[in-house]
Amino acid sequence: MATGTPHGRSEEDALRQAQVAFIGRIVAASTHKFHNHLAVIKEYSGLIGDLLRSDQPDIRKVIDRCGDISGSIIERADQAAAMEEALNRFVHRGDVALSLFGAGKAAEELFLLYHICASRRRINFETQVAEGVPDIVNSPALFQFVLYTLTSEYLESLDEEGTIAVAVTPGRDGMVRVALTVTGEVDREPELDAESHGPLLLALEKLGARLSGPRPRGQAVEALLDIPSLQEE
Amino acid sequence: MNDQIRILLVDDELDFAETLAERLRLRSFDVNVVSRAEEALNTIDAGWKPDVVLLDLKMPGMDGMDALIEIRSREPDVETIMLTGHGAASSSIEGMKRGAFDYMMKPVDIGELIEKVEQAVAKKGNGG
Repeated sequence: MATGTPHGRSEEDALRQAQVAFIGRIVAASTHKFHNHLAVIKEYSGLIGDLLRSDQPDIRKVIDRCGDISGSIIERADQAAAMEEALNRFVHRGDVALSLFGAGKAAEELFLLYHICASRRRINFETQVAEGVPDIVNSPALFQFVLYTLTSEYLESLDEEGTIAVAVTPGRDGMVRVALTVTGEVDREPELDAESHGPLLLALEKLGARLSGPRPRGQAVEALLDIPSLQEE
Repeated sequence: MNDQIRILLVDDELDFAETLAERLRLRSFDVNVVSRAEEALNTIDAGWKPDVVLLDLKMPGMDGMDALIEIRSREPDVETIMLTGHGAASSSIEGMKRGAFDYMMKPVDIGELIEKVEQAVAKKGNGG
């Protein structure tokens, strides 16, 4: 049974609201990027029109330039299509409450959107998946929400050469171990204290997951997630 | 009217900015493109004074709103037109309150943009 919070809102409601906010942020960032692609495509098309109408005497030069611009339009359209595909996969993760999914794949999807939405920052996103990692039967949207909650602060605070990495390996007793490592300079310490993350705690509970960290490890910050898989003993 | 109007175009989406600049140059505008607000301020401080600044609202580092305030404090007679993506109308109105001449949603219509640039220059010529 859900318990009340000091604000009279159930923990379930708080989690749902936090998940909607998470999806909203990803969708807003993606559509902003998509809008940029369209704005660039429109300018390229306008430039082709301008060049064709110009009184430039060297027709060969105009044709070559238009050819270059046409190539740029195709490149932009391809980028927009890849982004649309990633966003589509991401939003469909929330279609079902339970499904069979690979933690590595779900992390990759989220990081691809991070990368697309934050492409002007040169943060590196890495995903490594070991052989023989069992699938998880749970909500992939909830898993992505947990990863997002643990990493989103770093998207703003990490320097441009920083790395956010996820390594997925088989854990003990049929668990899946997800090691989240953030490396690089942060311009402010991300706030990850557990008390302010009621939705995170409930999401972990729903996943049956154990979270250890985040804690400093050498030059990095590491968090370990152990999530029950199909093969849990 | 275009007597080599100087435009400083500030947008971190460089493909957009460079292409728009090329289109404006084909219409005989003198356009300088920079990708960050800080570069825009350096350009002005170095003596390249524009008639009009086309300023993207959302940029990494200093955003368009802060850049607008800095530009107005350095060069009060330089007019600024804010360029915004969708969902940023309220910020654009805030920009107008802080002294922007006007704002336009991206993608822009080149004809409308030129009209606004010329209006901005005319306002400047009339002493605001």
